[in-house]
Amino acid sequence: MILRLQSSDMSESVLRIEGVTKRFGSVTAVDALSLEIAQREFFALLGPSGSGKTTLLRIVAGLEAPDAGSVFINGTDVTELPPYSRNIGMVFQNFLLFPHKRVGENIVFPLRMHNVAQAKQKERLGWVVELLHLEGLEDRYPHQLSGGQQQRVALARGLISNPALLLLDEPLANLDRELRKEMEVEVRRYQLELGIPFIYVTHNQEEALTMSDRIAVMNSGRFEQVAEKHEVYTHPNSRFVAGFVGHSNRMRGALESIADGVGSLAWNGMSIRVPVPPGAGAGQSVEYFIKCEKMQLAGAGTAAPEGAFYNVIEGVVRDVIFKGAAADYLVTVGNGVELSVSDAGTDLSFAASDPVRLVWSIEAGSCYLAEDG
Amino acid sequence: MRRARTLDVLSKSGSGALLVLLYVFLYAPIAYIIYTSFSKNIAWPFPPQLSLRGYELLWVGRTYHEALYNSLTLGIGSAVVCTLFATIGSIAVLKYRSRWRRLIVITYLCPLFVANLLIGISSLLFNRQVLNLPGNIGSAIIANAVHGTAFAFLIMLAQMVRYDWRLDDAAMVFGARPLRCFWEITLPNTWPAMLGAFVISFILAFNNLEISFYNLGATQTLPSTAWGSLRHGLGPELPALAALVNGVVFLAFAVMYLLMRYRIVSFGHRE
Amino acid sequence: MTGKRRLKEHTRFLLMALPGALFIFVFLLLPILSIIVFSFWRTEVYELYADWNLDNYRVLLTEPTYMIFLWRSFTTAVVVAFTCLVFGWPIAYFIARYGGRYRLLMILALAAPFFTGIILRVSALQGIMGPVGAFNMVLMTFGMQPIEIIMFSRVATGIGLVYLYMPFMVTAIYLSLLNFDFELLEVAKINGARPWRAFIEITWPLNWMGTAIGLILVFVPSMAASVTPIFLGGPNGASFGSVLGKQFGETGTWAFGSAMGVILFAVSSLVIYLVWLSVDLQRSGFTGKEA
Repeated sequence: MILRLQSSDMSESVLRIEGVTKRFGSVTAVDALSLEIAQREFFALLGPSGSGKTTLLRIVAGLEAPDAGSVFINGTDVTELPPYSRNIGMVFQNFLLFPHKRVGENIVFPLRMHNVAQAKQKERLGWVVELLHLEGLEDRYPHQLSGGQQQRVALARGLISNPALLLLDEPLANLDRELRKEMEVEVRRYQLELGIPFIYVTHNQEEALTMSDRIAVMNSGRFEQVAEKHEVYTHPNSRFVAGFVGHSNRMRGALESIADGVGSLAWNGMSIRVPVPPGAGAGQSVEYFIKCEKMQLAGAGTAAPEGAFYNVIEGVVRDVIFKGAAADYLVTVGNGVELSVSDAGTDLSFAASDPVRLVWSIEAGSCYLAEDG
Repeated sequence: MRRARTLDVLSKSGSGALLVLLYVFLYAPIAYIIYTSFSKNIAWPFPPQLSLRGYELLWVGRTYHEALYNSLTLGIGSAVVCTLFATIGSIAVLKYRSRWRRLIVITYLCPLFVANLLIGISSLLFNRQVLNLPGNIGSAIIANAVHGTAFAFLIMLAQMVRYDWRLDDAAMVFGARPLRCFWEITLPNTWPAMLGAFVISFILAFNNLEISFYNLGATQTLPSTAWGSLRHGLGPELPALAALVNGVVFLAFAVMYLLMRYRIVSFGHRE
Repeated sequence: MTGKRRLKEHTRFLLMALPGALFIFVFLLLPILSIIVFSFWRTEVYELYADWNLDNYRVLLTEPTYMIFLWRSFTTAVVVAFTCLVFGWPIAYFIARYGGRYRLLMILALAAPFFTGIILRVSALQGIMGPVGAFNMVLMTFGMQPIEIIMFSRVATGIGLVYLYMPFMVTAIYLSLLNFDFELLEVAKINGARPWRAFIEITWPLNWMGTAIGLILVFVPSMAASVTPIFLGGPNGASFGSVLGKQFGETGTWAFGSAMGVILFAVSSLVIYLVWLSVDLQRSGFTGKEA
């Protein structure tokens, strides 16, 4: 079966999972997760290693049987179906190309398994080879290819049978940085071109942000937040997401007072204005995250915006880390703690030991009740 | 730095020389057997007197044809059983998680730790007293296969530990059913290990004396014929037959060497 | 959509692992249990009688001859196992490290002598080492004294056993080295370890399990050797194994033979247990599953 199955049930989601749970011994790798993914969507599962994202992907692929819950593809319950009856494509970590088969044989493998006619195989191979710029490599063996070429072959094998959806398990993790950047853009282009949903597992937030439409941030087998990528970045809904996505400065302390929804956080001898998290009262311990690029750097003594909605603190530049397109300033504030400020301007207006002033809008950061202890 | 280099060269050539010495040691008796097979008098082969009498007697003698046939049956029968059990057993142990895994590994390996003699006598008594089975080629195949399975299992385990089972996952996702997946992916990557297991378990059973002796009943194989003929002196046919068997083995090695030399078949070796 | 219900991983494991395990259980462990039972019985005219008694063990443990045979077999086996260890290690290391694409061929060449039966090979060894054998003939041709110690002695038996079981030792160590990451040695050297130190700190502990298996593979058959001592050991060469074999041949005293078998099994098991105690699975690099 090569053509996408048209299910009678015209549900919009290509993939739907309901209450999927998987335990390994006493560890719950995937904890009662539900999710829907629509046609044409690029969906990223982002989380640290051990958060259960790969297990969830393997359950969707049918490589792992869930202990509870169901998986639907195009409205059909596939929970009990083995991987070879699910009509999905997959790109694995380390590529997993078959070492004893030539590139061409590797790519048409899914078609051969589905007993597609020779002529059709050839036609599809021609199509996918052109799509992925693999011309002339068909007769090589995988170990004769570069990392980037192996990556394309793995993608070609995943896409050739016109699957209902494509699963990608950290496919770029083994490529060097330059190549990864290039592939991020390409993978996104293929997804737009083909219009099928891609589910992309990664621990790299930049990859997730670059490519995806929606991101699910996973932690300990649960979804911390499932939302559009912009939303995840700008409005993290939990301490974990705030700490995991983007580069943030973290301030932790007790709420001293609350007035008009703005709290005052005691932090290293300073008073930081923060939005009050729901349910928090004076005296409670909270954590405030402010992304490095949301802080602004000004010369000491320059006019600062007035008002209750800004924080202004004084400090001294300790070091400047020039990164080309941007520069990071490490600024010592208060009683010796360091904050990191990212500045897109590359004119390097400040040097080490310059006195500076940090300014940011309190709404640019997010504040949560601190975990006990 | 120079000293370290010298040390390296010394240890490499030293251990290489030991290997050569071991080959000489192992093959000296074989060479001696081949030499005596062409001698007039087997017991007193010096000074050399050439004769082909052993080969002539072998050509006409029914006993040895039968013994060779039985030995081959025993070797192949046992090797098939061993390779089958060892293959599926080692795949199970390497591929799947289970809390029984350690117990299974120990069970598969425990025949390694029981002497041939003990396997021989205990299965003789067990078959006779408990199962009421007479000694024949079948019971000898079973008793030898118990021993060989452990060796085959050990060999397969050691060679396949590095095989990436996720290749099978990949094949399954792309539509390969379990048997197809085994045929297309697992087998092409693991057949050298299986071949090794088959050859070793064949060798172990083909010329086994201590297990087979107690379980063969009246059936004659090469080693039991040799054992029997000792009482009235070794016949000249035995060295001749051994020389022929070794000739076949050397031929097989030569073919294998050429295949490796010209990189036609790598037998599992990856550059 | 076709496709059968998926089997649970555990079910699959059992389906594949159990046939072989049951085979070994029925045709190895049950027979050994049965000779333990028979060792408490009595034989009369080639028949076993379920007449429970301890006589077999009483005779075995009180008649000094049997204990002497047992001790002799045990010490020979220990010496043979260590000889194989000392020579086997550098050989296995050479094959694993420098054998390149011919490694498999080199190992198979160690196994190939087994194509020739033990009797032929041991009697050929006798022909080489014996009083009128090739070795001493050459010595005498050059006017030298023949070396007597290698004729019909325990040394000759030992040489014969090393000859027979050395390939087991080399193969066991080789299989272990096959999965050893030689780059670890470079790490050790960069961190200042000299070659010998690197071997003792890294190579040896990580391959100790394979080595232990090799020791057992040599010790067990050497301890039970019956044919080799008869050929090479001379008049005083009788071993525990050869006496044990006799109980099932000429004399037909099966119950007594079973008791001897049980004692042999018990001694071997004890040695295996002691060797096993020294294997620390966590430190042997054996994690059960790769990656």
